[in-house]
Amino acid sequence: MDLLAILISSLLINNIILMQFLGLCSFFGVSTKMKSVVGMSLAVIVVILLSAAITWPIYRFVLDPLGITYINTIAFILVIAALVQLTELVVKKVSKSLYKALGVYLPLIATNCAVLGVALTNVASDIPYSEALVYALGSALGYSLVIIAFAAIRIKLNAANTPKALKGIPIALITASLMALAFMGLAGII
Amino acid sequence: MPIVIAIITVIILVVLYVGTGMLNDKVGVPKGCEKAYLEAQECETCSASGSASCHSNDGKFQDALEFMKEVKL
Repeated sequence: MDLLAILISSLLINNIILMQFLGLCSFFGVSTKMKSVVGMSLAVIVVILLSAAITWPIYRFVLDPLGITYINTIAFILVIAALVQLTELVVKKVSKSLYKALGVYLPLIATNCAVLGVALTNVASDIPYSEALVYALGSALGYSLVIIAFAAIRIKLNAANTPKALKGIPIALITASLMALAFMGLAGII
Repeated sequence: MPIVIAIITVIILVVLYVGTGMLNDKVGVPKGCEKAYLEAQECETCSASGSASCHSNDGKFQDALEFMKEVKL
């Protein structure tokens, strides 16, 4: 039940984009084409899960026993960047079609603060490994849900007759703020 | 002593990062994926690695400047 609550909470209530304001760069930058958004979402799910699976043990079994937890931010940045490069390398070697669908977005994710945010939240919350993984899964799915919905709205908005001053990023920001307000309405479901 | 361990840990991680980066650079983008790779890097807000999007953003920035001149208050 706890795991389900964590999953729903990270997916909807504490959504990583609309409530925690992490990963906004790719949220606004990539959400113009549905194909890109789907590829980006898949890549984010893989990278967030892998990074959460690796950073939690590093903190618990290396940084904490050595008394150097204060370097967790720089350590996690380096671990995530190395992990993304390694994942890209493996995907390049293993499957061309997988690389085309998912791997091409990996360079953008190396600097995505949503990945670092999930890793840091996991260690700051002092939760068990299973809960950390479920939180990471929920956050990644929440990212995907919101960015896909946002892309769908932006595609519709491109066809709409918006005032010149609001075209592009301004109307996207207004749309995102309205989506955030809508997600705030889900706050009481757990 | 903990500060030395911290520095060594960071150095190890930097070496790991540089190593994976060099390995990744050695393996090029698979044939037939170049177009998809370039398309994927067209992030409107991302200025990483001087992608084509940066140049297109320059145009948008100029458009914004022109627009601001037009509506000068």
